[in-house]
Amino acid sequence: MFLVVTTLAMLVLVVFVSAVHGYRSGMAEAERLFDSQLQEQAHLATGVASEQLATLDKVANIAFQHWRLAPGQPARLLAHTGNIPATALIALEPGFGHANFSGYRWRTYVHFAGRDDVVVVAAARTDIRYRLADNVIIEAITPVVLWLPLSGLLVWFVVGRGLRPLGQLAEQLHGKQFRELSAVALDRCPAELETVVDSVNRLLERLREAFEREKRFVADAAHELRTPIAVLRVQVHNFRERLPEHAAELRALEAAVERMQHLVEQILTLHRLSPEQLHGRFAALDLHALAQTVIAACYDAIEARRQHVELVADTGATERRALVAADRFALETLVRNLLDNAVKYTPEGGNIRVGVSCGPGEVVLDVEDDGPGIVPAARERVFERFHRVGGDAHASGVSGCGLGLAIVRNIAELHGARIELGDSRFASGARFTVVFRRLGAIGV
Amino acid sequence: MLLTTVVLVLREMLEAALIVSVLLAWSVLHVRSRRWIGAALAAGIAGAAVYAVNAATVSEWFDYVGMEVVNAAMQFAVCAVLLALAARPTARAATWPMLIAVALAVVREGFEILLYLSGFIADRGAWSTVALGSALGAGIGISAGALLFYLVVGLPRARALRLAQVLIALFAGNMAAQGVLLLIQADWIPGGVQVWNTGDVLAEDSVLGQLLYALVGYEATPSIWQVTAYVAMFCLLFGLFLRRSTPADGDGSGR
Repeated sequence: MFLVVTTLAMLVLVVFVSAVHGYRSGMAEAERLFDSQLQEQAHLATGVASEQLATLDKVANIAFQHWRLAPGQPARLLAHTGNIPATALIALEPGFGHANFSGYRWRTYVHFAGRDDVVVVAAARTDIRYRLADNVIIEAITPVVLWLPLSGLLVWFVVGRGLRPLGQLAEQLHGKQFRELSAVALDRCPAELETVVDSVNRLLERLREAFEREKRFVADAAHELRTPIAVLRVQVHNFRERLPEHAAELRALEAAVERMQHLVEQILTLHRLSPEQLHGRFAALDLHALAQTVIAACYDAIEARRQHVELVADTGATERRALVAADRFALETLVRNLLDNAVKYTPEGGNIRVGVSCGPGEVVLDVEDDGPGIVPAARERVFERFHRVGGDAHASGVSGCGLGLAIVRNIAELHGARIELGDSRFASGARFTVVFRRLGAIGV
Repeated sequence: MLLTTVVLVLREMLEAALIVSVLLAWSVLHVRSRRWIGAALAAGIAGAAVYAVNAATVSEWFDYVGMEVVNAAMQFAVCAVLLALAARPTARAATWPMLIAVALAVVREGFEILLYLSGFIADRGAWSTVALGSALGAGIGISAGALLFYLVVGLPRARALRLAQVLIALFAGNMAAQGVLLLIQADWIPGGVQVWNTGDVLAEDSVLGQLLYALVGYEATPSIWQVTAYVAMFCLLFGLFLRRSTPADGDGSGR
């Protein structure tokens, strides 16, 4: 837009100012041309006999007078054409001038013939001269103005075509999928863009390598940490047995070690859920059956907090199965993390509701609790890595590493599902909704 | 006739185009919206047409100086609206003052063009020349406006806002001075002393004179009242801009 408008504006400005300038200089040139013509006509009229001059009144736009100058006597009019009065209209001095008569303004030229003291006055109507010049010059500049819209169209077309590879590049970069860092390639890459495309591709390559290194390092570090943490846990446990007088401090130490172990496990889970790791492991899974399995696996923790959990299935009138295309490990992790989250934030004796329902072309998983809930302003950030509502000084006193919901979002994105956070149906509490595309629906 | 048409249409069109482009640039920089401009232009063109149709009636008002008085009132109204813009409570509330300022400026300048063109309705022989002259004048004026718009929005944000503020203050000063001149012509205020005469150095009807007239309100022979109105309006408006906002806080998005 900027290029088209500024190019067109500059084109119009230059062409139109040139046209106005051309008109001005054209008119000045025409004036000079008409003057030299009048001069020649005055010269020619010198040779016309005075008797013949009176008969030359057919030409309306040119008039002549013949005067005789005698020394010491007033100038005497010898003859004149019928369209000019028989009086002195201008001073009889050689050269150009202007006079008004017969209702018009005239350009005059006084010519001293040099024989018998005869002076010729030639006059031409300025309005006719002006109109003639005006018509000719306007005829010349009108096409310039009329054809300008075509130039505008051409500019628009050429600029648009010239910028198309740039648009294509922007589109490719914009359309890049999550963590997709493959090189961009254009159908037709002009020389001016080659450097840009090369630089972008080199940058993408460096970024991909950096991601790889980061991922490998984190996964390796987490993996290597597992054994020492396990040893640490055993040792702390042994110390607690041996040193009952330090039981309180050692319990805090044990909780911290547990938290560290949880964090390491979650980091490893995140690594296992990268697109490269998941690639090709998708299968048709019944979300309802999977939720049942996960609830059964977590039942001890729920029971320990005397919470009430219910699984509600709404598969519609046709009893459709809640089938989704997913990786089993990933989907189990998603449901477990949501359930763990609900268990953590629901007070003892509270309620947790897991719902699986089938909508048109989609399968919806709801996990609701009657904990404190999440205020709308904080909802967007809960899915960020290492983010915990209210920071580490969490009011619930629940331990956690802030990775569980980040993993949930990661899994949802990898399965093309969308995740929403709202208020639960209980008096208070949060509701996490994950909407999957149903397997067997159109386009899946 | 071609040159007369070009000069007249260019003079009015350039004045309107520069005001429109600076306010549009201000809007893009400040409110990040340019949707109001279509409504403002449409209202301005419709208003100019209505005014031109009723020109004869208006000119009979106030003892046959109606046109001068109404035009002066429009100039002062634009000044008032620009003052409201400078003293705006919030960036978002600036849309209405800008819409009204552009609409009034287009009514004022569009009216002059329509009035001139209406004189040729009966003279069929002159149509092509008048049309060509109008196209040339309008083309140059609109192009200058478009280039000014991109010049302002293309600058770094702080400098662009400052330049837009200076230009808006200059336009307001110009409007105030023109309003005073119209009231002098209507004999509502005395002519006053002529402050300078630069007609020989830079004629008002030269291309540069026209451009400077549209941009900074150049007058070859201004009266003391015009100069006073110009300087007072410029200082008042620019002072308000300086007091209300520094370019750095000009972000109207709230984020």
